[in-house]
Amino acid sequence: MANSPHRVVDSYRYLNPASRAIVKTMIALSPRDRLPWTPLPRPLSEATVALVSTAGLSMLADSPFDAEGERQNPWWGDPTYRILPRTATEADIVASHLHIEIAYIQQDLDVALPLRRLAEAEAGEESVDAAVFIPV
Amino acid sequence: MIPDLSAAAGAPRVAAIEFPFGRPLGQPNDAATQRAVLHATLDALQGASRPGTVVHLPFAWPEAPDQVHWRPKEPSPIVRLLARDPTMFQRLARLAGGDIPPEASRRS
Repeated sequence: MANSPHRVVDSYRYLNPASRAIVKTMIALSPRDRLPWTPLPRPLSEATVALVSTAGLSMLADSPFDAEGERQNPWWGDPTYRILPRTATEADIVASHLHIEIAYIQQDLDVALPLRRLAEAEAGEESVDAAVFIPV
Repeated sequence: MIPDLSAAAGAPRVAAIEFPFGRPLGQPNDAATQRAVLHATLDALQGASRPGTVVHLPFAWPEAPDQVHWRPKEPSPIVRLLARDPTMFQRLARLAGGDIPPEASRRS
């Protein structure tokens, strides 16, 4: 399937029927609260960009997310976060996500947290740090 | 990814991409695609003028859905729980509505 400027992304493309049913139910039950909104006050080229990920990434030197806690209690997810420096690569990190194949991130961090790609785009403009959360 | 869920959860700006979980920017070592996705995402987010904006990015994944390897080798704890007790489906689905089970606040 080729790229298309008119593509409408299929949210359920990779989900099996059971997962689709769960997600659709979650969507239907989501509260319709007023959406938060902060307008971008300046051009992106003049802004500081931070990347926030739910890929469960932590630095090797840091404590990992508590995967064992989730194994013991499937209803629970580690609510903490980690900070990754802009120089982090796949050689520096641990991926603790229990719901996805992490091998791709372990090969190339930029598939999920594009620090190198953003640094390339920076070229003296934005600065980058990254905060990582575990998905709930 | 699941842009419908992101939008329902209240994300003020969503850049939707039809790439599999764990690889939202593309394949390992495909810097060109990663760069294109990043730029398109930043453009979409910068261009959003009102809350609830969802921009559908034009990128296509090269594999058919049933060929995409995104699930972990070991089923996740919640998937194993649901396999043992399918009646838990409704309980899981109610999480989004704020019906958080007491177990969710305890590590174990």
